[in-house]
Amino acid sequence: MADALMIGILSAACAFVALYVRACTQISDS
Amino acid sequence: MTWQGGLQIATFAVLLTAAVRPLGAYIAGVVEGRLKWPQALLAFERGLYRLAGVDPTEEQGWTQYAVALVCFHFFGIVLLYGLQRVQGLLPLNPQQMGAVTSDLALNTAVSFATNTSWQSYAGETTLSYLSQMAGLTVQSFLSAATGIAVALALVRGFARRTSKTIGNFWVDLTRITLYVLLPICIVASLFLVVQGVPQTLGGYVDATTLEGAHQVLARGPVASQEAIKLLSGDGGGFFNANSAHPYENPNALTGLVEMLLIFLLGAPLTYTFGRMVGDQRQGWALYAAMAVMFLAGLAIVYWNEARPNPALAGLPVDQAAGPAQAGGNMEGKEVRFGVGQSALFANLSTASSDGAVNSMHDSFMPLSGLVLMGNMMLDEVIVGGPGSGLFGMLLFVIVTVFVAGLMIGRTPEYLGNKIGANEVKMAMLALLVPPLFILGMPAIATVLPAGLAGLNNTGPHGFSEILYAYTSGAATNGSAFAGLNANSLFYNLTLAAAMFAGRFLVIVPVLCIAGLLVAKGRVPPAMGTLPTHGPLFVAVLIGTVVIVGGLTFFPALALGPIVEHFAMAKGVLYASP
Repeated sequence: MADALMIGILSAACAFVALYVRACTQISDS
Repeated sequence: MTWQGGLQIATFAVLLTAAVRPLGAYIAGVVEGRLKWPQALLAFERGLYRLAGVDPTEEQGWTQYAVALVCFHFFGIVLLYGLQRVQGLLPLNPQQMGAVTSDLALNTAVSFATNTSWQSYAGETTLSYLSQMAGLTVQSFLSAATGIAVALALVRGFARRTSKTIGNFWVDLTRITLYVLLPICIVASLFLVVQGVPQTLGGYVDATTLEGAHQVLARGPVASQEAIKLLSGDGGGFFNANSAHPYENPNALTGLVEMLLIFLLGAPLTYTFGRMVGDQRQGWALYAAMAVMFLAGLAIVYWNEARPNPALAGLPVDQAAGPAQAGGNMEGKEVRFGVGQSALFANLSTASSDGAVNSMHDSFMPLSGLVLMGNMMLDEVIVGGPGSGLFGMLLFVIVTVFVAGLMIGRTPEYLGNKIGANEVKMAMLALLVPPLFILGMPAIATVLPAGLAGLNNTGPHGFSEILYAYTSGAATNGSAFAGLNANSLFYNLTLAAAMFAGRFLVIVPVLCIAGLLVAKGRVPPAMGTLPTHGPLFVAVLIGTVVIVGGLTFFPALALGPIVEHFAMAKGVLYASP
């Protein structure tokens, strides 16, 4: 359970980075 | 201050500066693929690409580069996390260490994959040899190579004309690891073994002391981890006491070599930068800016530590320098190294992203603690970690030419690249992410019981302990102020968040800038072009770094080390909680 929670937190953080990359792309294309 | 201390600092400065040119040129040769290697080594490199399904001739745009980097480290974190969780079932565990708790394992995995190496654990009582070697040491190599790769991608952005690509992440990672990190580490590890650092898979040793007491001596594969610990800017020691432990740092000579290793990649990268952009003076200008800031910080720390501690005045304590002792504020310092080497090591450790220690920073005088925190708060641009120092300084260069351009009414330019609004936005984004965590997290920790539970000091020093921890995490430094018990669910998770953000949310905009610059054509210098290789630009650059850092962090520092300094002068002391 604890392991699933930790991997979930890490996955959420990486998903945030993916959104962050996308946001930077949009800014750079503007 | 003693002449021995001055001699150590001068020796270090001369040796480091002498290494900048040859090593910088070598790194440039490696990443540009100009050096001739033995066929066997090239075949091994090609084999790695085939194994990974990578075409080394195919370059990537900045988004591909960033996604490859983040995915690679995501899997690295998961692997290191899993290794710690099942280490009790795996071999190379003579002390039969059990599974690391889930929150500590996540903190440690993020810590080493982000080149931070914040350690909420004691290595010799927590991790198996396999976890130390296949987990931490491997991540130290890979995180350092990633930092250098990102810096060189940004340099390509400045150097190339009208391109769409900034390099290939997998090729950069492989070449830097194979041809830069590994050779230096092999030589350094062998040197450390010769000097007495253990390198063994044998278990801990039961010893009987001269007084007849029983003592367990921890040992293990220390030398191989020690070399990359310092070179990579990771700083995570095999032992809890880090480079204050005699098995990690046996004598003054190993101390000097370890200090050189901390800056041995960061400093030469300025030369690599000059070589790749075709103007060596630009690289030396960055090196000069770093050197001036470093020496200023070192002078403050050494001066503060060489003086007697006023809180001990009137007590029967001899703090004067003499043949039998280094004198000054010796609390928390190794008597073998004294004040001079401790001040130098502490400055190197915090100015770089290394975070290794040979003395306890918590015991430094308040103004010294301010400098050590300041080194990290300035985005670690004073040489900094491998690669991260260079790209951090180039972010400040972009801000500097932007400010200077506003002052003289011209479009900002750097190395023939027009710096537009998007580049400045990305630079500011990268520079503002660490302060968000450095200032925001302590604000939360100081009002929550879970945050206050870890403190061993009250008053401004207690606040400094919390501020230092998040500064160290968000700046991916990893050194600890000590005095804060950070192995709790709250600190393990919040520090992991600070480290993750301080690494990846900075790297992404840096790569974006590289992508923006590389697509632009270069403009020839004109009459109004601001020279960026002279003393005036170096002074403006230093001013920008210090002012941005000062404006951002002065209020927080005022609540911690500054008020503690004045309280100490008044004789005000704070009780333990």
